[in-house]
Amino acid sequence: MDDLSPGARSLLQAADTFDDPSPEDAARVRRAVLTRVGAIGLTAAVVTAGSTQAKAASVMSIAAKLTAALAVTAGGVAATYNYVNANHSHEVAIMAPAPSKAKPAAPKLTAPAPIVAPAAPVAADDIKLQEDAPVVKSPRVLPRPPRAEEKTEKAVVEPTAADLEAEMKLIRGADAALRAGRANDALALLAQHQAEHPHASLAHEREGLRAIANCQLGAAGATATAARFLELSPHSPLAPRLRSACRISE
Amino acid sequence: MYAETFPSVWRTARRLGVVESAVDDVVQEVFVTVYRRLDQFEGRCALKTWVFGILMRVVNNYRRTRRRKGAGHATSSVVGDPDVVVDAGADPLELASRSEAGRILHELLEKLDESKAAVFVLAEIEGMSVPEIAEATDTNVNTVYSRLRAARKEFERALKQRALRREARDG
Repeated sequence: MDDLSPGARSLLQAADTFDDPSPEDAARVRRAVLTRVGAIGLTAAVVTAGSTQAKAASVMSIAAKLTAALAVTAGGVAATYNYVNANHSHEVAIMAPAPSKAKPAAPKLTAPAPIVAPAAPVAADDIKLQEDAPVVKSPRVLPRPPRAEEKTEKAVVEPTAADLEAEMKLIRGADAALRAGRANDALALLAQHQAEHPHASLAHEREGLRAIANCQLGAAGATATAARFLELSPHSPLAPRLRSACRISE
Repeated sequence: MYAETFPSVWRTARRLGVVESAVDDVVQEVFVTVYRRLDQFEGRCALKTWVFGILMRVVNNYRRTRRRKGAGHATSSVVGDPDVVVDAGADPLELASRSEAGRILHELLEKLDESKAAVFVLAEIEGMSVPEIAEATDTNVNTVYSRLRAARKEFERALKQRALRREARDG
C-alpha cells in the first residue's frame, strides 16, 4: 500500500500532541461521566449479575477498573451530594469518592493489542447523543488548589474487582430484601455497605435503596430525602420504584 | 481503563471534526455508553478497539445531529494559519511549531470525506491495524484498505496544494 511521504509523516509527528487533553479535561469529563453512571449503575449491576459466571468475572474486572478510574478523580469529585438522612441525622455522601491527588494523563497508546475475532457489534441506533440522553454539562473550571490538609492526604483508594463484587453482593441483598418487603433487613445491609465501603462505587444505588426502604417504613423525612434523590437523579433506574414507594408523582 | 483510553478517545474525537465546545459531551457519551454496554463486551477484540467502535458511532450521531441542525459539515473549528507553510518535500518540523502543525493537520483532515478521515486518523495517528479499524468502523477489511490508500493520496495532495498556494502567494 502507498505509504506517506516523509513530509506528511513529519507533520503528523509534529502535530502528535496538539489535541491531547489536559489533566483538567480528564478530570472534568470523569466527573461528568461518574455523575451519569451513578444514575444507571444499578442497571449495570443487575445486568452483570445476570451474565454467566465467567463472563461476569471478566466484565466485573473491567467494570471495577472503569468505576475505580472514574471514582478516583484528579482534584476530587465535585459532584458530591449531601443527603440528610432523617433516621440517622447525618450527612451521607452520594457517589462520593475520596478527594485524591491529580493523576497525569496516561501516555499515548502506541501498541494496540492484536484483534482475535469480531466483538459483538453495537447497533448505531442504540447510541443517541445529546438530544435524548441526559448529558451532564461540565463547566470548564479548573479545580481549586487543594487546601493544606488535602495536600497531606496521600492515599488514593482504588476499588478492585473484589471490592465491587463485595459491594454488589450487599446491594443485591438489600434490593432482594426490599422486594421481599423486609425493609429493616435492607437497611441493615445498606448500613453494612456504608461501613465496609466508605469509598463505594455503588453509593448512589445504596442511597436510592435506602430512600425506598425508609419510605416503606414510613420514616420521618423519608419522602423529602426521596424527593431530593429524584431531583438530583431523575433518570435513575431506581426512580420509578422510589416514586411508587414514596408516593411521589412525576 | 479510563485513564488509558481517555486521551486517545479525546484526541480522535477532535480529529474527526468534533468542535471544541462539543468534545466534552461526545467523550462523556462514549464512556457512559462503555459503562452501559460492558456486559456486551465479549473480549473477542482489544478493549480499545471496542471503545473506538463506540466512539465512531457517537461521532457519527454527532455529525448527523449537526447536519440536522443546519450546522453543515462538521469542522473542528481549528482555523489554519495562512502564513504557515508546509512543504511536502521538506521537513515540516523546521517550518511549523507543534500548534501550527496541529492546525494544519486539522485543515487537511477536513478536506477528506468523513469515512476516509476516520480510517486515516485511526491508522496513521492512532496506530490501529486495518483489522482493528474494520472492527471499529463496522466495515470490511478490503474497504478499509481501499479507503486508507485513497485517504493517504488525498492527504498528500492536499499537503502539496497547500505548499503550492503558499509559493504562488509569495511569488
